[in-house]
Amino acid sequence: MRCRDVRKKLSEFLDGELDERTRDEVQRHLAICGECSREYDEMIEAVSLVRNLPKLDPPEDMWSALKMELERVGRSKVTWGERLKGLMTPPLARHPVLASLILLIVAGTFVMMGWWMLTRSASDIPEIQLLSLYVQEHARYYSRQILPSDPFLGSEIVRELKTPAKVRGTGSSYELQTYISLYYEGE
Amino acid sequence: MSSEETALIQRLKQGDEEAFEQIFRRYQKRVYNVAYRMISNRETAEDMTQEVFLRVFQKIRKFKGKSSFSTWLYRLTVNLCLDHLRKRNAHPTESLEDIEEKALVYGKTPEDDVILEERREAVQRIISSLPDKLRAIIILREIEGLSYKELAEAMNCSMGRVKSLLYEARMELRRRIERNKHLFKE
Repeated sequence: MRCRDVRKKLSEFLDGELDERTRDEVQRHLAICGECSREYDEMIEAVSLVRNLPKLDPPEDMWSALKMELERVGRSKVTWGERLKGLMTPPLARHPVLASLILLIVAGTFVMMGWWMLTRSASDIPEIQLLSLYVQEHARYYSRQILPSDPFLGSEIVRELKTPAKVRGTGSSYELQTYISLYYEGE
Repeated sequence: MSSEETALIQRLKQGDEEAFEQIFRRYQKRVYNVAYRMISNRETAEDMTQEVFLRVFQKIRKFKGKSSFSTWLYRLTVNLCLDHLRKRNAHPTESLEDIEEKALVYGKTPEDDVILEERREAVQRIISSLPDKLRAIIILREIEGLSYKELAEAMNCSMGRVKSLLYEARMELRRRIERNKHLFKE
């Protein structure tokens, strides 16, 4: 074994971590090589200085300081889920899944209502449909100066117009009533 | 790991404060000593010890028992100390000139115990002057007495890497002590 190879093994040799054959080779080399032997002794000396350092005692009050720190960290790390749980009434707090479901249904209802109101077109409103239909009929009758060709349609319109709920509060009731009068005049 | 320690860890996983206190009392000295030897400052070592045990309390559920609890704790300690050293602007590493300069002051005190204390401080300064990883492996092996297998677990590396790191660390330690030999002669 050459000096370079032996030196690389000195650390493991010191710890008794080498296999028997390698250990014997290193031992034989150290017995005849002054340079490697000196390096080995210096390594033992350096390691001994570190190993002989005393174990220090930590301060007495470390546990109480740690306990205080744990409490402080615990307080500052309350999650949003925990805060929400704190706001819940006790029965709901015991059933978080049910509480979430209720919350979801209520919120969903509001969203759906809002969406329906926003997307509803004017032509979907029954009073407007009726008015539009009546205006068309009215124009037809008066342009031709004839009575309704379809008596069934005319009577349907009148029947609808006479239903108070259909015209009440729409803002078009006066106009509708005018058409009703005109219609009766036409008849 | 003893059955008593396994039971303690199980209790700690369930948030048992008494179990946490027992674990703290059992290991605080080891953690404190590793932190002190890594950082060379008692106050910072106290802070690091506290931080290590806070992490233990927060992360104990992640401890699966693949290594021993003490090895896991050493890894946590070394990693926190290495992070601290990386973040700290004023690195504690001292030049050899600094060590020699302080030695001149130490040489003037005749009392044996004072000399002994000064020598120990000089050794500590030489440890502090080692590169971080070499310092960590020297402390875990020579002061804490970890086996090669435990070192591999604590340093999160292979056995081969442990052997080469330890060889490098000891050679570096030897060189630095030899350069300051006058500090350690009777």
